[in-house]
Amino acid sequence: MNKVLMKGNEAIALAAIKAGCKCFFGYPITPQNEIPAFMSEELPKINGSFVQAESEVAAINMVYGAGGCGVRVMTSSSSPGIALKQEGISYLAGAEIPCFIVSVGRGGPGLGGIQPAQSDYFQATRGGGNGDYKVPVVAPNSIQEAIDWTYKAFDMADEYRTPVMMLIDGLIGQMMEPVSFENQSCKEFDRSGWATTGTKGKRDPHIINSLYLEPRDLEIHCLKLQAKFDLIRQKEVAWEEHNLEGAEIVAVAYGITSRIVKNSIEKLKEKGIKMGLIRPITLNPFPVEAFSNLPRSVKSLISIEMSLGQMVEDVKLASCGKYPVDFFGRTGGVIPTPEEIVNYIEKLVKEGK
Amino acid sequence: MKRIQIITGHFGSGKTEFAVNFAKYLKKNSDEGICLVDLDLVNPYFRSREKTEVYKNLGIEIVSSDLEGEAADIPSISARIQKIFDTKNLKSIIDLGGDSMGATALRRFRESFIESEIEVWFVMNANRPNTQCVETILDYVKKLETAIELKVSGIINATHMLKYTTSERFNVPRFSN
Amino acid sequence: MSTVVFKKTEGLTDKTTHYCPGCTHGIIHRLVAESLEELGVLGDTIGVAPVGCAVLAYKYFKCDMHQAAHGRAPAVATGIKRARPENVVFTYQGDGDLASIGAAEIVHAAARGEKITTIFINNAIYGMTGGQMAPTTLIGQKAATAPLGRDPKLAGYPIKVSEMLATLEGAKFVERVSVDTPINVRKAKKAIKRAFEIQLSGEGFGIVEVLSTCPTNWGMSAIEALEWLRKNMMPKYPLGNLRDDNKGDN
Repeated sequence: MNKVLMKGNEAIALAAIKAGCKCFFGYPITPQNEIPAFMSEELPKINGSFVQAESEVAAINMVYGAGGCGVRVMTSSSSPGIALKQEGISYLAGAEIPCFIVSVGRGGPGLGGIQPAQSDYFQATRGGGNGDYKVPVVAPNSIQEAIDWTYKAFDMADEYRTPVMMLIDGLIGQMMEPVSFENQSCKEFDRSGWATTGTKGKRDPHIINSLYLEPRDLEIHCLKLQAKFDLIRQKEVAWEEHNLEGAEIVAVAYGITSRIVKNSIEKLKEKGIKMGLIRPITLNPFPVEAFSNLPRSVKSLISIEMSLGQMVEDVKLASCGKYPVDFFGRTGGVIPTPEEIVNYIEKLVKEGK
Repeated sequence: MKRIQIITGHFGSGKTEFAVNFAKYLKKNSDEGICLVDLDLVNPYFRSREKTEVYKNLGIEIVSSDLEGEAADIPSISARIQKIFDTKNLKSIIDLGGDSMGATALRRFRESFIESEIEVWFVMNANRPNTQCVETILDYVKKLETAIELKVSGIINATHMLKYTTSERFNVPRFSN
Repeated sequence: MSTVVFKKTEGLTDKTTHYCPGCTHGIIHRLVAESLEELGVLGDTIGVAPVGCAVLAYKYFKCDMHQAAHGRAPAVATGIKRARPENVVFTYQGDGDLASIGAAEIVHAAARGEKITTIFINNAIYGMTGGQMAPTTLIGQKAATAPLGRDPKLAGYPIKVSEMLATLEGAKFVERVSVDTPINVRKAKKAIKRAFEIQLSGEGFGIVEVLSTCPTNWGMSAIEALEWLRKNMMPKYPLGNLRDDNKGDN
């Protein structure tokens, strides 16, 4: 397999182009600037379109336009910029527009800092936009996984007619790893039933819209969106299990934190403590199935995040009160070390969890 | 080597690792002051300046930005960089950020360049997508030379795959054309 | 007993700024601070810092400061001035902050005639995030998101902010200046002071657009950058007063 060394942001942008992305609309914000810079250089070469929008708000609305025409489109931003896109995301979900949104997390709230963080879990999975909607969110923990899921995300977006978000932290966006582009492919989709391409006098107009003034109509529409998400939940949920056999304590972590946790697990082995890991790959839908058949040895769970505790709420919901759920986190752009995590787990074990 | 050694290359080439280790090597083998200049304005993380304490302990002066701490994206340059051109008994290594945007920052010091004092080395990693064969590498070198208005006098093959580097990987067949 | 011929203004703190050598932020900060000091209003001033290289301006101006979200400074300033009309309120914004994401906010603050003063730093590029194209980037000028130079077919044309805002009746004072020569620095200070006077007399909105350099992102020495400004920016963004509704009264 031919591998090249790529930075996370570049790799995602290249994967998007290979997956058929024809339009990119975005705005500068650290730590994702490599994505618009790459797109500004490469999209014109394939007759695609790049626009540096006047703001993240304008960018997400440009996505609404291009996506509604049935063209593969994406945007990217970081935490404060994703906050701006919430209105647009609600419209995209309501109007059922396929698109890909990359969120590269940094410290918050507000302007926060530029170092990596996972404090946008709520923002991504619950969404800050109004109304009853859910956006599938995928959180790769390596650049290869980010590439593979970029292809999948575009397919998912088209298959279910929904915005799909990839949530990575700044570290995955900035670091480099050997990757390959050889095993991915994309499906073909027929968008002629809904996309606005001009009636050519041959069909009824297609309307891209999220307005349903009649309450019963809006309810039916929301039920349709919910049914779609239930299907996504059945078919697209993904997670990784690591070292669960015989584990006394199971950590739940995603993204870069999951790699630090794997490191900690090795260190804990040497100290005679058996820790396992459930790594959600899709954060929305959250892999509740992973928690229903844990080995008998498991006595407790711990959510480990680069935040003050957001995914921990989903861990509590998913485990239905069967186990005590603890939490360890650093925030503000501080990255936890394996040693810190090991010390915390040791303390928990000493205290009898 | 000349008094001012510029280490440049595509981002991901390994130039920062090279620049830092070269600075350490020079310090070990020389009585003169050694200064490492971090002109990597493109990377918000993983920059030379993040190890300021380490360099202080090694006796290497590091010059980058006047912004305290390293956790900012503002590409601010310190006026202290001018001193490496003006101080004749100071040996300096400039870690020039990857891509032409990084090289742009160096151009502002053009008026202080004295050709006989400066040498530019290009670090390449044949495992990076834009530098995988002779043609693309030379094309990249030409672009860089245009951007900084200096000639590259040496190419350092730092071909690697980070921690996955093996001795086989180092002899990348494509490069032997 | 020696005579003091020049003293650092009381309007600036002692914090060393992070601005690159040759950056015009330093001069402009000083002009704003001196103007406020000379008008005797430093103690009543509340400033609003942008997102951009001047994001840390709240550390450099010696007065109360708000750090605003990207582009929203005119709205934040509106909130401050409406809540505390007796205070002197200013915004200090770059071209990305004011003319890109903040285009709506500045237009409406001016249209409403908010009694605030805006200092607009136009250096035709995004400084803080590493040299992306700005709304004021010139045709042919290279930037991180216009690697081959700004092409009007793909990215349209630069915006003449002062000319645009001068069409609004709420904007009582609109002037474009530069700080590339000592004479221009003096003229810039005069304009900045007048813009604050417009606020103090209750007349309305005032903005001073200052043509500025960014040696780091333009890839030029400080001197070359000033020359580039004169040769390329001034013809496109001519200096001068574009609106001064009460000029006759002076």
